[in-house]
Amino acid sequence: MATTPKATENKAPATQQVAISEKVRQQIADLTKKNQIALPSNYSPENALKSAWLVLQETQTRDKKPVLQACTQASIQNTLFDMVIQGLSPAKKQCYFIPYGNQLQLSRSYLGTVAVTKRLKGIKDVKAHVIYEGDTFETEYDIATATVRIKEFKPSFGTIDIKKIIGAFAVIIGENGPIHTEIMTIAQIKSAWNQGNAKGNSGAHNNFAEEMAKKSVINRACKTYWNTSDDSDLLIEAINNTTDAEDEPKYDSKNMIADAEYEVRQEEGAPKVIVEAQVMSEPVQQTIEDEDIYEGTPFK
Amino acid sequence: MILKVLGSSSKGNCYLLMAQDDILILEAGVGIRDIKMALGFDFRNVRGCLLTHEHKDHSRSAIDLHNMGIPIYCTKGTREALELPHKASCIMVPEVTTVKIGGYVVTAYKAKHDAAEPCMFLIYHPEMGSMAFATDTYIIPYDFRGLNHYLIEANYSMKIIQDKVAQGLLHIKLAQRIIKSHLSLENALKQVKDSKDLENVILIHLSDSNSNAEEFKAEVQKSTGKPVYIADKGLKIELRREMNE
Repeated sequence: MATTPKATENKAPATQQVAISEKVRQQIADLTKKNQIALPSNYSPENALKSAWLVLQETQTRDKKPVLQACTQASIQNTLFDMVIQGLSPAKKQCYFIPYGNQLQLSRSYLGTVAVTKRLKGIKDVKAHVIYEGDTFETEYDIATATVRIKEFKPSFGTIDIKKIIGAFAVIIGENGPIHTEIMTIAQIKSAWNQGNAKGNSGAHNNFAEEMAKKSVINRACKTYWNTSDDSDLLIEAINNTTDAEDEPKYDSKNMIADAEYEVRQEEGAPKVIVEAQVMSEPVQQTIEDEDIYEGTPFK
Repeated sequence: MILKVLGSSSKGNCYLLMAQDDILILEAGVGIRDIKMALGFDFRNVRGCLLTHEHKDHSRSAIDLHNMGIPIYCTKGTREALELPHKASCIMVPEVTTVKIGGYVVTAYKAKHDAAEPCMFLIYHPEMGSMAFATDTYIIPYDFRGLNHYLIEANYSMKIIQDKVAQGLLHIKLAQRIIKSHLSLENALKQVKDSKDLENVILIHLSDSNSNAEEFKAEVQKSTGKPVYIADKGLKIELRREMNE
């Protein structure tokens, strides 16, 4: 059994690719059949998986090992699964693969974030603009809907200067116009950058500050829409499994859990309404016969 | 009275209460075929279906049941979220409406979950006495007294969640959502601990990954001294009412 190391090196990823891709494809086909997921009509899981493999073959860990050998099969499979569920493609620069030790992790670019958010019910588009010094920018509060709205925004060509950004805003647009407005000052944007690995000091942050500012504000606006979800909603689960490429804050997990637990405990501690269960056997307030239901009698 | 579990997890929830000649479906979160099979394709005695909220794992087959002429009982918010037609569904106003569904008497109570208008139910039938059915709620703001049976969610244990987040196996956002939308074992225990008349406790909607069925069962059994069941798919138990008077 004398095989040269070179031969095994070439062979392993190839068989691995077929096996893992096939597994992911089957998972997806299974879920589609059961109607648990609906992929965008113009999305081809096969193509996305193929381009993912091309990217994965080039991706290396920090100590220059190919990720396909360094990361566990399960984490590769989960990453690809999350990618397909969200309808993302690495070829469109919507997502990247990042190894953490032996765990591969899917990371979403802001292009991916916009694409994924647009798939949520009731969201048509996400738009962002940068505010420069000298632009007219005014907001107002709508008491009826408890939302902040932009009253006036007059961008001017003459004010564009990446050294003089004072803020940015993102608007999530629903069926009937804007449904959510997220506004960030440059200080807030910079502290968001600070959470990232580059600490806001990469070439991109310095030379294309306006694009990076848009990313931050878009990410923050979209996040609001991912928290509410169905238990069965695989899309939301995949979205939350994926980190943001740009400014994923480093969560203080202990405190976040403790906070949520505290809130629940507060409510749990409130006095309980006493319900005598056995009283139910006595006459009822309202009886609805099947006949009524089919005749469509209005109920209270 | 027989209780049949057709599914009890985030993949799908459905329970059948089968009295002598009255069947009530609790939740419709499994495929319609599974419900049909469990009933032996015999819907003659089905009186209705109760829905707690509109999430898919609780309502997948609601529209199919409706199309078969089974009345659906849910809150207004749930009906609107599911876009159920007005004709064959009945609105339950939490804490107000009490309806008679065949031999069952059902009242709705408010639940706390991230859905439009979630609710829980108190169900009475002469064959089994009274039963509370509480799922997908992070607290139960009621003290149900004199219950004979408790069908109660025990989704996760705080300890397992904390461990998993610490090890990076569970996303913090997801953990937060679970805590703010589902009932923990610890809270479920508080509910059932002091109920004297309780004859059965059935733990439902255990999370696949954040729970430990055997441990949960032992813990509830220890503090209540009552028979405790874990609602696994396919579980079938008899609910009876001990006549003490």
